[in-house]
Amino acid sequence: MKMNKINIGISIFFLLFGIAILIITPLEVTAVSSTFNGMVPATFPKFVGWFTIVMAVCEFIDSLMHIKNKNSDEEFEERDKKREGKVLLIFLLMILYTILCGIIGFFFASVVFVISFLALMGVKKWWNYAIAIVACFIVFYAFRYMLYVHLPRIKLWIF
Amino acid sequence: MQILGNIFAGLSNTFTLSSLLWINIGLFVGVVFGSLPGLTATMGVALFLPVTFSMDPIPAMMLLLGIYCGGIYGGSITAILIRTPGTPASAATVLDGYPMAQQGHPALALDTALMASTVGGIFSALVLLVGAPQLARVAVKFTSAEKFMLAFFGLSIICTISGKHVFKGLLSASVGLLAACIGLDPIEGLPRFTFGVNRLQTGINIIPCLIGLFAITEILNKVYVGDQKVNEVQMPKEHMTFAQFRSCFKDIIKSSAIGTVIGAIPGTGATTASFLSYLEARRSSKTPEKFGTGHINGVAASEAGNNGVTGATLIPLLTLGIPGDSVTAVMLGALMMQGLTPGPNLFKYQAELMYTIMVGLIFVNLFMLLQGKVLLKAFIHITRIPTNLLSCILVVLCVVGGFSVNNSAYDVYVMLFFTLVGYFMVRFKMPTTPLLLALILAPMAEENLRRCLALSKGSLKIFITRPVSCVFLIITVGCLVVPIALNLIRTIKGDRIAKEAAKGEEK
Repeated sequence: MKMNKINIGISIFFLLFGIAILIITPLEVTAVSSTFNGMVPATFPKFVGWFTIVMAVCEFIDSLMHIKNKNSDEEFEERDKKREGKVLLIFLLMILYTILCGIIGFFFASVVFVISFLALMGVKKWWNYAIAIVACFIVFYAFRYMLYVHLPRIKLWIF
Repeated sequence: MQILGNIFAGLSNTFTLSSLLWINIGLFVGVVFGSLPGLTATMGVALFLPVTFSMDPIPAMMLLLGIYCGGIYGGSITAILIRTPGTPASAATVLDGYPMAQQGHPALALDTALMASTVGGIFSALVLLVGAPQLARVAVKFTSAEKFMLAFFGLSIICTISGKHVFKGLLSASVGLLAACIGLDPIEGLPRFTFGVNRLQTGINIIPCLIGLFAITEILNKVYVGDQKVNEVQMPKEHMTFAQFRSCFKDIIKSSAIGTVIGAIPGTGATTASFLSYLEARRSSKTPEKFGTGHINGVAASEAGNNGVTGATLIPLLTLGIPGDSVTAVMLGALMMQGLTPGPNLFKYQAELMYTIMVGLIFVNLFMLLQGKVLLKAFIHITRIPTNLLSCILVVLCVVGGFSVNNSAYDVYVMLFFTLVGYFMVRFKMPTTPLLLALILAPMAEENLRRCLALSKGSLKIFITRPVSCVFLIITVGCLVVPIALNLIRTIKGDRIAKEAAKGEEK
């Protein structure tokens, strides 16, 4: 697919995004009568909404002009679906990791995460797993007990 | 006299055990990040930001400056050895560095890169030390009208840093502007876009946002690319001789000056400086045909150029509070987390800290030379670290970074949200730096606009009647109009060429 066609899609998305901002602003920003010479809390969000719409229209016109001109039409990088799926899985794993942190504590959640990550990436060498687990321990210990970051723990010894 | 006193205070603060230790740790980490293709200096600084939260401001800034300078230099290692610039700033180094390595002089090329980077960095740091206090003295007199114009100018830089994709850059900025609206409004304290969620009242913290945008997004892209095998490089012992240094000296100084000027202009950056320096060295050379074939001056010029940027980019950050690129935006975040607001008042109330940062930067560059000389052989093996192993450890660090902001999982979710935003933006070739710049500068712009309109009773004339504000307005209009006009000209020109080509085909 051509990049300019994608750009048209992007501009339509942002056009809708800008309209959404204008619709949501009166609902989500408290209206006040006391104003700083015409500027109320809703003024800036409304400006952002209009700004987005104008820029989306500019991008739309720019992309249309580029489509007419075939010389400057670069290809949109098609990606391997299998690898893209892997990226999505890793992202979902990160969400799961964050949820697990609150349940089994940061250290154990990290161990589960690194093992799952490496397995998903097809890593077979055992020492990769060992280094990753040791790194999790070092990170947990350094931040929790040396830098005093309150990383979640389950109160099992130091973990 | 007071300046001398501050410089001495800066020197004594730099020469403490903790500062020296953190400088060297930072440099080591920076070189590791810089030399691994795909990992950038920005990512290194963003990832190590949480480490600085519980530190004092001086060692914290020394660590981050070390990562910054080390990261820019580190990019040259892989550029020379495997023809893959570790950071975009080292792309010009490939042109002569790789041919030098192919001809059997990798050590000489690396040594030249190290020497030139050091001289470029020190030159830039000296300009920062001399120039920044003078600029801050002027900037401290700024009122809300000038401050608004300054923020507006900072936002207009988005057009410049967006390159070919000006409108996409501005659309990316609109996401940042909207994110900046979330939370309490800066003047009346009324909630905006909180959707009934109390946590959103505090707004979007920039730290999880930048970790998501610059660190995890890069990791996900590395996951897509997968592990890449790198061949081992043979390194015969070879150093830059005094005669070789003397032959490059003119180019190094000229490139350092180019890098410094480019770096002081917000929105430009090390990549531009490096290429401009390289082109200038080739233009002024008596043997321009040697450039691109493994010429030592080519490596020296591009490396002095990109490291010449390091100190200069801090000038607008420290004196005006305007981050010129993504690394300085992250640095701004670091200063804010320490309770310091970058701008002219820092020079007034935190002069010792400011001078320590500036003096420290000179020594960061000197230690970079020392580390480079001693650890070069170790740095070469960095490229052999398995990408997958590194990626999973970096994700763990990112999650810690998210937690560290407020000791809660909420910021980790914010970080993951911005990861998703960043991933799709990169996928659809939308620049991510404008989003971060908008998120940082929008509150400053809105607050000062509302204040000065209250003072001027709603009249916009205030921006024209005040001379400094008027100058900023003119520069800002220039920054906005020129890239858009260039974009339009490019499109029209391309259109004409296409029509002519079509006519030619018809004939």
